[in-house]
Amino acid sequence: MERQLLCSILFCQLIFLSEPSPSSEIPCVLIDVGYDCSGHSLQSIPDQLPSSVQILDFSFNFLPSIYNSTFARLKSLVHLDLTRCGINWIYEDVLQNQKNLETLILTGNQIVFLAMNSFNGPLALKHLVLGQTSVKDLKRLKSDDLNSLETLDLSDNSISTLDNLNNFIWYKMKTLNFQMNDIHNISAPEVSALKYSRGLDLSFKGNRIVHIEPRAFESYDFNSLDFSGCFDGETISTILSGLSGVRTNILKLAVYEESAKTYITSDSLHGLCSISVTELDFQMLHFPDLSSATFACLTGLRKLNLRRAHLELLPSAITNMGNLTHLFLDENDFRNVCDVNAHNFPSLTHLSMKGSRHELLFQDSCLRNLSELKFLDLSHGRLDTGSYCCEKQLDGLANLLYLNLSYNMAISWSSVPFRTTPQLKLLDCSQLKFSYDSSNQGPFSNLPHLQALNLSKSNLNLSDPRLLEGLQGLRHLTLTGNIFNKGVISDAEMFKHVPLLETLIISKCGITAIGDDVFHNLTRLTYADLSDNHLGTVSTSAFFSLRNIQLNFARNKITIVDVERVAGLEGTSKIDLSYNPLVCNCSNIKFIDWSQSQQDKVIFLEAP
Amino acid sequence: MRALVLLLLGASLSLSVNGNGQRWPIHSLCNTSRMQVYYSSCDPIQDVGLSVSRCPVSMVGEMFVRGALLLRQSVDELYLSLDVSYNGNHVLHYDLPVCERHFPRVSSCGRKRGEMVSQEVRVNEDVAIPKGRIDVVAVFLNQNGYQIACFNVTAIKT
Repeated sequence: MERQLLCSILFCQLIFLSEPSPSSEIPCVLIDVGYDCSGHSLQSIPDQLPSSVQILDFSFNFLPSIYNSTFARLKSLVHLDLTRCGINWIYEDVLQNQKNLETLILTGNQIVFLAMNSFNGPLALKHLVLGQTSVKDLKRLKSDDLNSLETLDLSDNSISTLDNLNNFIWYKMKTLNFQMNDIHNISAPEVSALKYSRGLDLSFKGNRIVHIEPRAFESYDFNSLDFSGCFDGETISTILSGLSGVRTNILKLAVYEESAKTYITSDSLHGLCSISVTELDFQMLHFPDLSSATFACLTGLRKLNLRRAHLELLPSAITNMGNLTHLFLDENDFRNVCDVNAHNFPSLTHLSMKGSRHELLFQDSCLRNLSELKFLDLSHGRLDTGSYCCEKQLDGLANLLYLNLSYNMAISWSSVPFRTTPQLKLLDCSQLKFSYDSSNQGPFSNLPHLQALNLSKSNLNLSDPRLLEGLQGLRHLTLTGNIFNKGVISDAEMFKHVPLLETLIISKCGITAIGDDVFHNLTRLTYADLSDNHLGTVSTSAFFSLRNIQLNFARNKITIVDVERVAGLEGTSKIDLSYNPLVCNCSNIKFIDWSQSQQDKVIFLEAP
Repeated sequence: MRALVLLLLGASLSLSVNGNGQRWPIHSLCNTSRMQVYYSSCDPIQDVGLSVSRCPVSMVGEMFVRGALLLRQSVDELYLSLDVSYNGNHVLHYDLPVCERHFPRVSSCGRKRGEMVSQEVRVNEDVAIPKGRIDVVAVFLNQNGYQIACFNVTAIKT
């Protein structure tokens, strides 16, 4: 009984716990240079908090009133989070001693009273977050005290007017958030001060905009403008008219799942001709008269988001989008990859058609005009590649670096499926059942530059020694969910092809035993995940070295650990033995002793 | 009949326990002669509000589902994990991205810690709901794997 108790205590000591409170009397957790006191229903600042605290997370407590005495002692505060503290009253000079305060978060407090001189004091205040605070009027914020602001978040406050916006200093401002308010009209005088900003992120997302004075933002320079969820098929032209003459890197004109269907005609997009934009977001819109005219004003565009835009094809004669580099077509209604009409976009480097809603035919050479393409995502769909893939389908993509074919229907590889894409660095084929002729060379044999290969749950035959042939540059390999023959890894042959491998994931592979030396060719291995298998012992002799390697043996069937097997773990090496049925008796006492003396070498978590 | 329903619910909602060891209340989503739908939070910290525009005796046609909850962490990313059981047998596990950084499917994506979120979503998938008992466990996780919401829904169609 005593022995059992001792064992239990020892194992308990191995469990990694979060850092304890500095004192049992302070319900706060020490973080970098501050304290996290969140969620304790505290009604005052604990006296035990040191005055030198710089970061204080006091969110989800209860402070209905803030006085100039509330934080008086904490003069070094740089970051103060008062989210959801039930604050109704903020009296005068509450932060007069916090000269260095840079961030003040008041999200979710229904502020009834805000004294005119509440924020008198924090001269360095850069980030003021007032989302859902009932601050309905900018007049309530005395702008003289907020001269250093870089972020002003006024989201979801039922603000209906931009009056007094001009009282603020804008040349330092980087983010201005008005999303989810009740702003219907924007006039040129209201926003005239914004012309002094440079690279501002300005969001009106979720306001039902009815009218913007034409050219209200003319010559203004933004990083991003977000008018998502602000319009319908009628009012989008009003918004674009108001933005006439603006320069912005990003313009978001998206709608959402809950929005009414929004039909945008080509005519209503004419205003885009007067807007300088490089990245445009049309997520979830409908284009009832889709033609090359729809894109007529997108000359110069670099990135176009048409995710779930109900598209079956793109017009074949778009002649002005030669600069487009990124095209996102996820969750559309394409039935054939050729219907992208890739010849319209010769500069494309990124193409994503993830989650296509219909069976998607991938015919030969559809994308051959995309010689610059580096990133292609065709995952999470029902890709139909015909009899063999992918040599001909990927024809012309000689510069492709990233290819995602994961979560698709079964595919039969051609003899060298990636012959036309020899530069690939990352290939994701997880949840993709594929077959190939194993009497030929390995399917990846022409990919010497491949660095990451994911073959999880691919129904693979892991007894094929040529599977990894040619992958001499591979760093990361995931084989999760494929079963090794009879549960035994006994042949080092397969891994001799990948001498540079650093990460090997073979979890859930039904492994019951690992032969000695099978990973000896993997001299650079730093992480091996063998979790969720059926191993009864820790098999470290399989590895080239136990110096600076992380071994994950969690969720196996290990009951007893031979200490000789783990004693060689050196340097930063660690072994994770969490969720194994380790026994606590004399047969394991050497390991228990070793674990206690080497706590930085072993991770042991128990099921709750 | 109602006593039986509540008894079954009591058995199925064993996870619906809050941080104080007390169960969150069982809420009724709808209750007609042909169908009863109940839900209960399975989050240790908070309850959740759900509402439907009509009792989904048949899922043919449009209906709206409204949900409200307090965000304990931001939802720059949000993933829904559903487990569905039919008459006590697990029949379906389904993972669904709701918010991705470059594909925010609902307007609440990107909302911050501490904000109260109320979201209405239109459902217009035609799905025949069979007679019997359907249990759904819905878990929402954010970009950090933090549980944003968890609730059990039980539908009994006679």
